[in-house]
Amino acid sequence: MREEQEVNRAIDRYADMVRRLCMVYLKNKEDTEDIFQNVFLKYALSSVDFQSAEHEKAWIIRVTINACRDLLRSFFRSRTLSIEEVPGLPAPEHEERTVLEAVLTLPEKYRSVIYLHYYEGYPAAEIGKILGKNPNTVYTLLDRGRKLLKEKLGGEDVGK
Amino acid sequence: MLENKLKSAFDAVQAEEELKANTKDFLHRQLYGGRRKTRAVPKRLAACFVTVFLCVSGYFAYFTPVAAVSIDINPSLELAVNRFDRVIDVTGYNADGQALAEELSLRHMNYEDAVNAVTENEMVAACLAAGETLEITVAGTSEERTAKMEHCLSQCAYVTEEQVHCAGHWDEVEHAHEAGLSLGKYRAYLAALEEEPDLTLEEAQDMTMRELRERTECDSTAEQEEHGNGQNQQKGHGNGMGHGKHHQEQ
Repeated sequence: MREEQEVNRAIDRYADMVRRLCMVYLKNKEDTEDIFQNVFLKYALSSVDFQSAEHEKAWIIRVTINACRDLLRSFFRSRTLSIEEVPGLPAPEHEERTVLEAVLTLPEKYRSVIYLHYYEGYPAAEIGKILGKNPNTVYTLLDRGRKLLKEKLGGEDVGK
Repeated sequence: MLENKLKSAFDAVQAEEELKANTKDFLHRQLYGGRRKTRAVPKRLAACFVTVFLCVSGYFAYFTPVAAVSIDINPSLELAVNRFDRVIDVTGYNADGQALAEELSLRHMNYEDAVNAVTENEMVAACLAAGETLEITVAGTSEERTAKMEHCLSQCAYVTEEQVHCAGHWDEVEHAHEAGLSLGKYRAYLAALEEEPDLTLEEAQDMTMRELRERTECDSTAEQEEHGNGQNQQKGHGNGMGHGKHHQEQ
């Protein structure tokens, strides 16, 4: 088991990333809290010897996405909110909100790859490793996701 | 470029400080002996204190004597009785009394059963058959209790009402113990001392109840004869105990 200080450091470092992944998959505060507890509990109990900060970050992303998927399949998950009710979104008058709403209305399979590629900067091959998908599948998802997002945002292109 | 807008949009999403603090608190409680443990410990401690308090108070309630029953014939022994009418200690005040205390297992018995066990004993029966005097003396911290005990003991199979005395004062028990005598014998000694001031405690310890009572009776009789009959001059015992001679009826 890891030292409490090490776990707290990981929370401080990765909390924002876990929070964004939760937003990509989930839409309510209770489920987000569950995921936070679940992910960092696994981190604390994990005996994985991380070779680098990137290794650690990829591990956290994989565990978070798996936890979100497990929760989505769970019978006991809290109710799903509409986009307007999602906590943590910027105010309606901000452009960021419009972009986030567009991402959140994409089918789930596109949301995670869009986030990991355009925000975290992972290439398709890395995303494939993290999500356990074939890189070609990731390329396809990225391509379709980009087109859908373009339509939703009124034809503005997303750079490659 | 929308890519930049995506970045700034996701930048706007950050983990709330409350969320981070709750997660840290959760892990602290779950894994590192945090608040849950510190909350649980006082509860467990409180439960332990209550249990210990109940045990200690129960122990003291049970093992604190509130009455003494002195049984004197030749064997002289005393029963310490608690508020639950149970014998919590048996003390022999002479060799025969000690032998009887060891022979009979009287601890934790109801005091009436204990007195019955003593009076039914062969050694006591032999003393009675030899014409010795049996006296049972009760004292306690409460007059009500001693009166009730006196009544109950007088109903015992081998005991008559005349053989049971109520000393009434707990102080007297302590004085008797300081003198190395059982309560009943101490009272008999005080009565004899009125007639025979030279009588020592050591002598009294070795005397049977009959011998002690006879001293009182003889001196009393002799004095009465000295003053002549019919002069209405009666010898008062002076200690207010109102002793008489109580022979076991054969």
